Formats: sequence, C-alpha cells, structure tokens
Amino acid sequence: MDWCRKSSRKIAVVFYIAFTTSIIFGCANIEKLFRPLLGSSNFDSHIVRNGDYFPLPIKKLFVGAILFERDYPTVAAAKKGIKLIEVRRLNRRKISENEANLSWSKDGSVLSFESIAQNVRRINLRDLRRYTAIKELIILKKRSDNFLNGIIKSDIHSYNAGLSWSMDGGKYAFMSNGGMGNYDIYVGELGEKARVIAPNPAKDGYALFSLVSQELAFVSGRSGNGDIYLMNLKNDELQRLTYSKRVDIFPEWFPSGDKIVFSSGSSNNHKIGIVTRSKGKRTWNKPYILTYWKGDSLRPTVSPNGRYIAFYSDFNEGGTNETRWDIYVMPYQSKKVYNQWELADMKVAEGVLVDLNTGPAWTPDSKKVFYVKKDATRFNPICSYDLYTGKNYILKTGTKMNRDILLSKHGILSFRAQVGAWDRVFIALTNQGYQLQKDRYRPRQIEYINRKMGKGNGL
Amino acid sequence: MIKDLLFGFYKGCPLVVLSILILPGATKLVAVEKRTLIYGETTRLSTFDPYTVHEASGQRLGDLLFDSLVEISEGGRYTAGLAKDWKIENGGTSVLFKLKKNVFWHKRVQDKEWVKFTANDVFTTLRLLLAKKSQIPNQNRFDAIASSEILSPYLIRITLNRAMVDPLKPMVFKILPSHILGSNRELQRNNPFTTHPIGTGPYQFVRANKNLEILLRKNRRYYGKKPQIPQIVMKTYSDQSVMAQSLMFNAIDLITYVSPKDLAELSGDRNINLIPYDALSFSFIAINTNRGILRDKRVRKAISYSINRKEMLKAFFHEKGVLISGPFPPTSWAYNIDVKPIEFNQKRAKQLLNEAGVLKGDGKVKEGNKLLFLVPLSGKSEMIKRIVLAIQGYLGAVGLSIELRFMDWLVWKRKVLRDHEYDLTLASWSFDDASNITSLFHSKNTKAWDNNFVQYRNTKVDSMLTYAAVTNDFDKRRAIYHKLHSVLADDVPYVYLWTLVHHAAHNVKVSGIRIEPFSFFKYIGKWRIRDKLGRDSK
Repeated sequence: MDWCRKSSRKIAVVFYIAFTTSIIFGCANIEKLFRPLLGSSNFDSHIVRNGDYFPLPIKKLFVGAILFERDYPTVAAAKKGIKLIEVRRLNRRKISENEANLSWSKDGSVLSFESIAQNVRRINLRDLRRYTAIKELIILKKRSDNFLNGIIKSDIHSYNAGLSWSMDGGKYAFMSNGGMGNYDIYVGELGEKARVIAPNPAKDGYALFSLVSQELAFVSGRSGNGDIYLMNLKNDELQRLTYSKRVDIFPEWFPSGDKIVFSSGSSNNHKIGIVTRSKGKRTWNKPYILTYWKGDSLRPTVSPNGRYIAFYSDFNEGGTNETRWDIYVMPYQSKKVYNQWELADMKVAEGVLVDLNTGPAWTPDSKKVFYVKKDATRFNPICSYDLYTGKNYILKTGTKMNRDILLSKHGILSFRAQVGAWDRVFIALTNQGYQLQKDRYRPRQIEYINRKMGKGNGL
Repeated sequence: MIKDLLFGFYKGCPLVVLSILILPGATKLVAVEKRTLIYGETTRLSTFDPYTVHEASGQRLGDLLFDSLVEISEGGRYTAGLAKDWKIENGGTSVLFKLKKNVFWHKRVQDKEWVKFTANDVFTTLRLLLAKKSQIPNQNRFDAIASSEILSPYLIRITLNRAMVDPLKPMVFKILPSHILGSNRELQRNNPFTTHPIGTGPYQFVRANKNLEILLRKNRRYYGKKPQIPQIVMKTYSDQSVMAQSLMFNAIDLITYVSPKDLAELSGDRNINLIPYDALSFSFIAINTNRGILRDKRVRKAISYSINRKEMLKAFFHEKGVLISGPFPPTSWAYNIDVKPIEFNQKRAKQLLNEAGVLKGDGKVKEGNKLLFLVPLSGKSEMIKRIVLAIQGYLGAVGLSIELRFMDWLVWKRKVLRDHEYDLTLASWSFDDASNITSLFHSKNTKAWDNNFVQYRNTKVDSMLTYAAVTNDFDKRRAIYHKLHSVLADDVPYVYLWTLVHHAAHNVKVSGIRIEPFSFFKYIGKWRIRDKLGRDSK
C-alpha cells in the first residue's frame, strides 16, 4: 500500500511538472527535453582515462571524438596545444532567420541561442545529451486588465534575449518585453511558471545568475542611467549595487560569487568597475574603478578561476584616428587599480571583433582566451591566445564571419557564422574541456604580446 | 551624468560658475540642466565646423550651429534661410540674394557686442570654400560657383560657372563668420575656429571635453523659430550597440542612427520611438563593362539574376529598405515604376551564361574568366564583408568564380576610379537631388577619376542624357528619364541592390521630433523635452 501511495504521488508530481512546463514553454513533450535534468546523467561525472576523454553524449554528437581518442591514446598527448576535433552546424533546418547570442548551461549540457526574425527574437534550447529537436522558449503575453482581453489574439510575439542558467541548471533567467513593450527580467524554474522579478517601467536586462547562489545580477534603467542591481531569489530582496552617474553595464560574476565586474561609462570612456561583497555580510561595498586610462573598455569576462579579467579596449597608444579594438587581460588583486602604463602592457590580442553578447571567451582552465580576429581576407577567423606560452592559434573551423564565441565546460566551442546570407549556430569539439585540461593551479607569468610586464603578475 | 559633464565644463572657468551661483537666477540652472537633450553619435569628430569635417555627424552638428542662405524643404522646395529673398538672373548663371538684417553671430565671452551677419560673411565663406589650399573634403562640390560680388551690406550676387536649370542647388552651404575668418587665406583644419565654431544657428557652441562630449546652449538671439530645449549635449560612442543600450537605460535621449542589429530590441521598447528616414543613397554592384566576359550583356544580366537581393535585404537589414531597379529613389519623378527589379532566378542566370559561352561542360566558368571583385574597407562596419561573402556564394552557385580582394579605401579609389582595374565592386551613390545621372552613365565621363567608372558607353543613352539636361519641359524630361531607367536596367552596368531606410530613436520624453534626411536638426525649434517631473521644455 505504501509503495502504491508513493508511486501515485510520483506520477502526480511528474504530471504536474509536465503540465506546468508545457504552460511555460508552450511546446509539446517538454518533459522529454528536460528529462535528463530531472533524471540521472553521467554527463558531468565522466572520469578521464587514456583513450577516453569525452562523456558518451558528446561522442554520440561528434563522431570525431572517437577518432580523436584513437589518434591520441594518452591524456598527455590529447591535452597538448589547442586541437579542433570536429565542427558541425547545430541546426540544419533551412530557415530565413538569423541565429545569435549563445549561452551554455553551467554543466555544459544545454546550449541556448536566439533566432531573430523581423521584430521577434526567440530563445531556443538544445540539449546536447539527446537527439531531440530544438525547443523554443515561448513567453506568454503578459496579462493586461482591459476589455480587449479574450477578444484580441494573445499570441503576440515577444522579444526575448540573454538567457542565463543558475548553477544547478534548475533555474533560468532572461530579458523579455512580454510582447508589451516593457523589458523585464523573467525567472523560470522547472515545474513553475516564469515570473517577472522586480518589475519596473524602465528597462531591465543583462541578467546573470551567480555561480554559487540564488542571486541574480542585472542592469536596470530605473535609476535613470543604468545601474547594477541584485535580486536574491530566496527572499526576493532587491539591492542596488552601483550608484554612478554613468551607465553601468555588462555585469559579470566572479566564480566565488562575492564580486561583480562591469563596464562603466557615459560615452566613449567606459572603465572596468568592480563591486565586492562585504566579508561575511550580505551587504556590498562601494564600487570602484579598476582601470584608469583613456581607452573605452567594454564587456569584461572573468576567468573561471577568478584570477583574471579579460576585456576589449580601443586604447590606442599611437594615437591614430582609426579605431582598433584589442583584448587586455588584467590580473585581479583586491583593491589594486591599474593605470594607463600598466594596462597598456597587458594586451593579449590585437585587431579583434568586439562581441558584446559574449565578450572574450575563457577556456575552462583559465589559461587561454578565444576571440574573433578582425581579418577581412580570412573573413574573421576564430583565434586563441595561450596566456602562459604566448602562442597564438588560428582555428580552422572552415566557417566565415564568426561571432558570439563561448566554450562549454567540456570544451565545446559554440559560435555563430555566416552561411549564405544567414547567421547559423555552430558547435566545435576541442580538447579544451576541464576534464582534459584540469590541472593544479601554479602561479605563472602571463606572456603578454608586448612582453613588457614585470614578474609577479601570475596570480 | 550631465552634472559630470557640466562640472567638467565649469572647471575651466570657476569665476563664471561663482557668478551664476550667487545670482538670483541660480536656482534656474538646475532646471535647465534637467531639460537638456543628450544625443549620441558614433563617429569621433576632430573638428566641429561644417567644412573641414566630412562625417555625417559633423554635418548634423553643423545644422545646429550654422545656417545657409537657402534651405531645402519638403518636396525639394527652397525656403529662406539667411537670405530674405533671391532672384535668379541671366538664365540661371547668377543669383542675387537679399539678406536678412536681424541675424547675429553667436556671442563669444570676449565679444563686447553682438556682431551682425552681413554680405561680407557670404563673400568670406565663398572665398574660403573656393581657396585651393582649404582643407575641405569633396571641395569639388563647390565647383559650380565662380565668384561673388557685394552690392551692399545686405545684397550680394553669386555667379555660377555656367547656366544651371537649378541654380539654387549650389547655394545650400553654411555661412562662416567674416569677423573671425576674414583674415584667413584658406580654411585649415588646425585653425582654432574649427574647434571653437561660431555660427548663426539655433544653438551656440559652449565647450567640448576630452571625451568629445560637446555642450551647446540655445542661441537666445536666433532669428528663426526659437529653440525650446535650453541645452544640447552631443556624446560620441565607440560602439553602436552600447549607444543603443544607453538610450534604453535612459542615459541619453536620442540616437541619430540605429544599427540594423539593434532595431528589433529598440522597437520592442515602449519608452522608445523609432523614426525612419531615407538614407538618400543606393547600393549597387558596379560591373566594369569594358573588361573580358563582362562586355557581354548576357553575362551582366546573369550576374543580376543570380543574386538574391531580397534575401540579403532581409538577412542583413531586417527588410528596412527597398529593392530598386535603377539609379533613382523609388519616390522620385524619374523612377519608372514599370521597370521591376530583376528577380532572383539562378536557372535563368545559368541559361544566359551558357548562351554567352562562358561556362564549361561541368557548369563552371572557363579558365581565365575568374572575376576580380574589389572590396573597399572603411569604417567600423562589418556589413560590407557580410554582403560580399553572400554575393560570392550566389555567383558560385551559377558557376561564376570571383576573387575577392579587400583593400584600403584610398587604394580602392585608385584602382576603381582612376585605373579601372577591376571586374566587379560594391559601391553606393548618394541620390542626386535633381535625379541627374549624366556623370554616372555618359560616355564622356569614362576618363580616370570620372564617375562613369563602369566604362558604360551607349550612344542612345548619351543623347538622351544630353537632351534631358537642356530641356526645360518637365514632362519631356520625365519621359526621357523613364526611358533611361528602362535602358539602364536592361543594359546592367550596375546590379542595382537597394536603398535603405535608416532609423533614429528617441526616448518618448522628447516630443515634436521631425527629421529631414538631408538636414537632421532642421526642425529643432519645434522639439521639446520633458524633465523628470514631466514638465515640458516649452
């Protein structure tokens, strides 16, 4: 009897989840899509041995993975350098839409991307562990209390962008105008309806989950000029973190969850700012600027080990009128502020394409930065810079006009590239996954491209 | 943010700040700050006068600071600017201008009195514009003007080099102050005036800070419609998307250009209004009609058939534009609506290439027939790369192979305009106000640096162009242009692509906005802005 009661409760829970998620996502068989998240999977617990480097779902997805394991039978050989194993289109459908703005779930199992048509932007999800079709995340139109309810069609498409996953993969957040013209942050959870957090008539965007807690950082125009806010989803407490009269934008969490780095500026003068949590407290310290120089510094990204910050800057020592964007990597030291002379020596790549969606992409081992080189004759190839060897790599992906580069935990490079006239999402398997590259951290000196930095910067 | 900017401005003149604060009107200063229009541009200006700068953002700034004798209004009509009245003389070889008397130059701190605008200013302006050593980009646009003659302080005659059907067209130029530039032989970029401009326009230049944020204050002695917005700040952004986000996060009030990739997000924001305006230019693939297989009209037509322009317009510009079939704006009297843009039809393209005998049995182009496609690289935009990559794909699909060669803008100009060493290239022209296309297609204009760089020669077209230029009968001219349109579409010296619709975007707190594509801030006098309390600048 007991067993019977428990089983019926389980069935009821599954039905409830299936029912509520289908309301949120508006797609059939949604339960199938998220079954791996609900059930067990060996995706994240793969043990690397000689000749066996990738979890089974990745081997199923990339045939080249098996060949790679055969060609590089030892871990030492397999992890050496940067190896591009296989490149493939994520979505082979012929559609007249551009695809962009990729994002990985924290465990590297689900890739989201946006498809853009006219004034509609939809978020699509692709679970790499399964051969399920791509699922679309649909936001129901916000209810407005007027007499037209029920008379007009309620399937007005909304503009949805910037999906971010919580650490456990159970929650997601994104920006949407709900089809009603007001950009808010929506947070959803498996089995629950997506809800708006901290609603305000001003725009909210750039939502990003903390890597350790149920906190969500986002940018809001409610202050009058764009500031960073923090929402604690446990108690719905909203906190304003920055108070500058400049626009504070592109927030990025440190892996420790106690610091947020961002760009701050009023025109072509963005600096990299940081706000830190008071030790042992829930309060946050006054934010401060990390970079004092003439360059416009945009879209910082933090290395997975939390020791470096990479960002784009158009700082031009030569002083020519031509704008050229470069990537700089700055070691993070508490309270350390960098001046122009120090920063000018921290360049790791020149003439790059600014990617505001993703920023410079870090490998899971925090040793390499991936970026797109602005190179007309090669149609903007994907490149990588090894911070410790100073070696530059051009990845022969066979794709052109690449953008939105990201690396998943398992070393899957995701990006968009032009096919015909349209932007399409590609995924490429590399040997840069944490499972192959994990190594005990040893302080080393970064090889900057002008190699002027003194000793002691390898934090 | 605006306080930051103002603080920067005031730092240089602490005494002035002090005097403002102790005056009874000091409380008004705060209110004035709140009703400041902040707009964003994406090109860094090194000079702020209307001539030594060639960027569109400089022209827009010029609209706020300077005036011209006559202005172009809706439907291409000329309306009075600094001139009160005018008379076209000698069959269109000269124009006599009667000037307004109540116009003053912006007052500088060192000026004791307001200086009046006179004919001397017009004379000085023309002298500087025609001086060979003046550093003015596209100076040849003033070539039509021969001289000027002051008849009285408010009467001046401007003579042209030849009789023109539309003699007022070259008269739309901004007037510079003689009391500042009168002693200069030419206008050089390093002249202090270029960074501290003085005009007669609705706004007066106050100061620019190191970030090139420019503060303008309304000209309280403006002769025309007095502006209602007390202050304007122009900010420069190094990235279009960052600028668009600043608008959406309420940090700025207006952006003059929205990048196609930001359009969808901005249009989904109810706090933002988008204003479309014509780009006033058209894009095309230029075909060198004097080279190899391109001499054959069938090959040129095949190229046109093989390119899916509709798809490119949708993929790259979200369909914010119109496909065209000839070198005129679709709204122009010269545009022949019966000539439809060539449809995308790769089957027909292959058929034409086979007829022309340029393909081998395997459907690929014969040896030695690879086409050289020169691509100019200028500015920050990646769009040109995206377009040529798509074109390469389309042409490849019908068997035509092209060698893409990217080059610096100046090298491109030499190779294409001077040496004509290319097969295909991507370019765009501004639409001529009078739809005059003589320089583009007349065979007399095929020399080095001439505009007919596609080397197009057609005696029938030459005679039609010549006749259309001299006739004063508008109906006849229109009929000729319609015929020209049809011939030029059929001969395919260009693969006509599209004319785009640009968008400006503004916060809903700014109202009364109307934009003229050729003069962005023309109606600035009617613009209003609400402060945080909802009070209107009116």
